[in-house]
Amino acid sequence: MAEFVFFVLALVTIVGALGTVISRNAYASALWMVAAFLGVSGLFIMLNAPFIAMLQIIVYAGAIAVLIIFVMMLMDRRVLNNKERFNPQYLWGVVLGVGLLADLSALAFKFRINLSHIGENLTLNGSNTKMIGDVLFKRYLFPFEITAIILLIALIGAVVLTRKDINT
Amino acid sequence: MIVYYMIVAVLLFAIGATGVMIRRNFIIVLMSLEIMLNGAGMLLIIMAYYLGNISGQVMFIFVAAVAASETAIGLAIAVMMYKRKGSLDINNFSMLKK
Amino acid sequence: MLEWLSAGIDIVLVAVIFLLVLGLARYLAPKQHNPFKSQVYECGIFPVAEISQFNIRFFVIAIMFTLFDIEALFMYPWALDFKELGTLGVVEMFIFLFLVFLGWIYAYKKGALEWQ
Repeated sequence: MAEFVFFVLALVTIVGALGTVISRNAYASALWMVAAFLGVSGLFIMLNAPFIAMLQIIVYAGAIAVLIIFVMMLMDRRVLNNKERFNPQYLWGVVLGVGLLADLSALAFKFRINLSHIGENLTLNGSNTKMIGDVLFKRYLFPFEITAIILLIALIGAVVLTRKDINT
Repeated sequence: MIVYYMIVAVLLFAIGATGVMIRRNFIIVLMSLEIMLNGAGMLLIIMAYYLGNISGQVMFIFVAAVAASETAIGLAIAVMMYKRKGSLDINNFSMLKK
Repeated sequence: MLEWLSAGIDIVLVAVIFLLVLGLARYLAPKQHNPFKSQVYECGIFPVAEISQFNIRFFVIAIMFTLFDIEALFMYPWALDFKELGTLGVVEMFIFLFLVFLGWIYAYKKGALEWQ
């Protein structure tokens, strides 16, 4: 049963990702992207990460996808859905992409780690959110504060970049 | 079983990279970047599960924060270029040339 | 097998309700398309360009929403671990909140949130 659920979720993810890249209409592309994110979120639940799955829905399918669609709605439809979808040298892009895929899948098939001296697969005892909190606020304290600075810089950068163009 | 999850993550990354290389529309390039980041983050979750170490999931939270910041800046650039050039084609954005 | 049952019922129910509502709307809604109806309303003359429904000023607010969404996300594990972390946890989180809040102060000072 788990295999069947995995297969359906993987299919949703891959078809969503392909739809994002291929789709002619930019709005349709954004919705395909949401489908891919929802599929990935389902896979995260299968991998014993329910909090991350909810994070995926809240941040990616919620905030980021809505922000992208919102920006599209500010723009002229004819500019957004240009006739020419692909770069002139798109064939080389596809070749490079397939090469990357072959290379990385070869790595994935070769991947072996001897589990005997590392431990078991991740099991959830208690709340996944609490487990993350235990590690996040003790071991990864400094990266956590750095994240605040990244968010600060992103906010300042967005204001600086758009201020002149918004006020004209 | 774990290798199939890894194949899905690799496929996401490769499809996203192809999208970055072939699409003209700047916003769709940003979306493909988002998919690439998601594929990389999914590998973190897979390894967290496989090795029984929760740190991978913590790393994914940092990846999500960076992804949101990157989208915010990218879309700010898109809005700016749209206002100045009236176009979203990345081939029109090569102002540093010449 | 049984542990998937509730999720399966949920998905089937969602799909059925979704298709039912869409089908009902398609069946019941009046269909009278014509090119003038879907045009931008102008008083007699033909429109020369499409207008966007939203003012571009909302963009900064949308970006701030996304970044503060991420900020709120870090507070879920913190809230569950509140007791064990003690005073140090509160200090850590308030440093984090202060750093992100600086961005809001900057946007406010630069007038990015004002309508002129």
